[in-house]
Amino acid sequence: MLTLAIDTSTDNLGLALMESGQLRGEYNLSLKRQHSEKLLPLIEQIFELLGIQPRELNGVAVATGPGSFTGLRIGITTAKLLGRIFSIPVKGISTLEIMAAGIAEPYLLPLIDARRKRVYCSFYQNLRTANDNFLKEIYQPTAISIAELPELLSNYKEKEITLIGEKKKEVRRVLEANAFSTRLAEAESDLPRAAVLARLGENYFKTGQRDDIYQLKPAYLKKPQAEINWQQKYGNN
Amino acid sequence: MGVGKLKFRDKLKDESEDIYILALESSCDETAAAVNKNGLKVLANVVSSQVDLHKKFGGVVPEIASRKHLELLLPVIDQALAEAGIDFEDLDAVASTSGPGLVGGLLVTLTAAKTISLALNIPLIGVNHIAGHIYANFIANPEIKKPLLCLTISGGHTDLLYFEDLRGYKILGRTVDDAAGEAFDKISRFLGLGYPGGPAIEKAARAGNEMAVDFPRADLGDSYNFSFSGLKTAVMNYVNNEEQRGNELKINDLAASFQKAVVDSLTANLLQAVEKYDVESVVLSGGVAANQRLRSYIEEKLEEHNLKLYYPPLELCTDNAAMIGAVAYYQYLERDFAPLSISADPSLKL
Amino acid sequence: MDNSSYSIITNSPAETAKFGRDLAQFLEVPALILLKGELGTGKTLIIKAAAAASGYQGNVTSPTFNLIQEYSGEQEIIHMDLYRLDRTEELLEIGFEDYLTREALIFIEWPELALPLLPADFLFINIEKISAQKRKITVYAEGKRSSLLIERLNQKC
Repeated sequence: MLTLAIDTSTDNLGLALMESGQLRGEYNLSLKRQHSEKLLPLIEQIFELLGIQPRELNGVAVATGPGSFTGLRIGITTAKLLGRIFSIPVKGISTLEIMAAGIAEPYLLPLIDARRKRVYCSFYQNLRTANDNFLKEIYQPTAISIAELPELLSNYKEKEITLIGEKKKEVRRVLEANAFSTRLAEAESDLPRAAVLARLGENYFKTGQRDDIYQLKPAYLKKPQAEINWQQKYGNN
Repeated sequence: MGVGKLKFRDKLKDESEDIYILALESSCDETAAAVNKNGLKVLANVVSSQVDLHKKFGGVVPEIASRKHLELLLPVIDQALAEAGIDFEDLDAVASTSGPGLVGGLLVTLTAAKTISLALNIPLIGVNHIAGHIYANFIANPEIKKPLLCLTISGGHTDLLYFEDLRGYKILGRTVDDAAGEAFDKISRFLGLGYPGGPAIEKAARAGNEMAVDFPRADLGDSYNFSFSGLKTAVMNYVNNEEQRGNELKINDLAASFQKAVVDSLTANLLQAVEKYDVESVVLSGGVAANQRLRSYIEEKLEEHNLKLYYPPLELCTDNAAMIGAVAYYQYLERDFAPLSISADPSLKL
Repeated sequence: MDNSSYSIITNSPAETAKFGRDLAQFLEVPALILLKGELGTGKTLIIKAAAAASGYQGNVTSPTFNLIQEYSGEQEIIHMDLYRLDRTEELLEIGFEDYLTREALIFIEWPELALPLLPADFLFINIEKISAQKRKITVYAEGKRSSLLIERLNQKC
């Protein structure tokens, strides 16, 4: 079982090849807005260096965001075509889930910088089973102002929350000022690691889970959970 | 990265063999796929339009277009292959528009073409969308005699070209400001005639008098260059003046007079070139080439020179991928391939 | 409103444009500037003047995109006109979230529908028509960065 992992959702370009539980290769490169130029040459290169032919692939796992829509479409298009040409399964996986799945702690808050004092985040509880970590999604991916995080997480003040990713230190300051207990992920876990994506993909494929390549699309965010209501102040004066 | 390229270079074909190319296009608001055999023979030409999606916004919304391209990508490819009766393995090359257009949209089919190139180990060809519109003519009229002049006009460009044969061209003139189609869109919106502007103006103009208002025609001296921003301003000033005087606007007359001014400017440069260059035919292309008034006026003028005017049939005037496949074939023969690192260029020029 | 606002009366389109140029001097990416005012009060004029002062040369032969236009000068400028939108959800379809992540100056005309989706730092410019030529322009700020900008406007203009 040979799985290719592709992540173009953030500034990190992630690529990994996993063969039946064994990681064959992994790229995580911080390439701002160069995914279009770099993705396919790097896929060609990783295959060449490892002496593997693209047609040997058995599945493709692809990150679906949140992240840059243009970046996401590059990775997802590549996954769709590989799935179509080789008739192999494709699975789209949330970028935040990839970040959370890299860490074995009970409460996980993966963060991606959404600029302007906002983050994309989701909140997971890690229910450890005998074989694997199982992530339960408590809050689905959303874009939120950092200042609003204490309110979002108010039911979890008693728990130690592990902060992962960009802005983790800023988020920690805000949460701790509100009497939360937090710990910071190690630096190497702050990226959505391509190897983790490959592992998740392989696990999904093993249990027969796959996406319809005709329906697969980026995780375009729905309306934010917490809206700031400026309407009263500026909407009708 | 070169190793993969060398592999397929061994099995490249020449003109004596049949060459099948899958071509993709997503530069604006149509998602399209086509299969061409030997360039000008179109085995399948599938176009899925999103025009209705954008109508409400008075113009194409880049993000909405990109989302739709991603959604329609596989269905149009599947349909094109099915209609052509071939499979991925039968392809000799894959092509995509690489510009000009909206980056987000272009990247959808360009990335798809790159993936197909890598997966099947066949050459990748990046095609200029404007060249595509020109080659639509050669698909529709394979009998066109060379050398020829081509006037290519759309919302993004206005160029006058000279072709010795189908493998290359020389640029004689281009717009120094607005493109002709851009002027149509802006004036159409200004007159409240809607989007897209070309057909809207043409429709209104049919019921109007094109001699009603004498709008200025830009004269750029001996050059073959075009200019439309002065005309645009003149129309806006005229309307503002009329409104201030409380006169009722005759929209149809305005549309007709504006259209005639554009047609005159385009025709003047073309005729100047016809007199200088010894050509066998003249070709129109681009979205604005669909304008009937432009066609009939140029045809009338070319008759005096015993020259025939060619233009693509309506179904090839809108964005499509068959035209991209036609260009790609000549690039294939020239071994003009793109590396997997090619990116979309929103303002790619001819 | 409070001391976090700046007001100016302009007597002609030329003066309104000058306000746009002055404002541009104080803008730093990423900035979000909302403009509210009736049709023909000078919203676009202010944006064009600010864009020009921010290094945008202005000569594009690109198709017309009514809703969102991007200008690249010395810095990236995004100009949205939300007049044709009916629902806040439509903002998500046009990729509004994605635009907010850009390191750009973002100008928004007819911003009412965007208000629920905004981050906590922005400038709000209200333009009132006093007479045919005369405008009262008031700039409000939300957030620390934008409030600082108001202070500077008040000191220098």
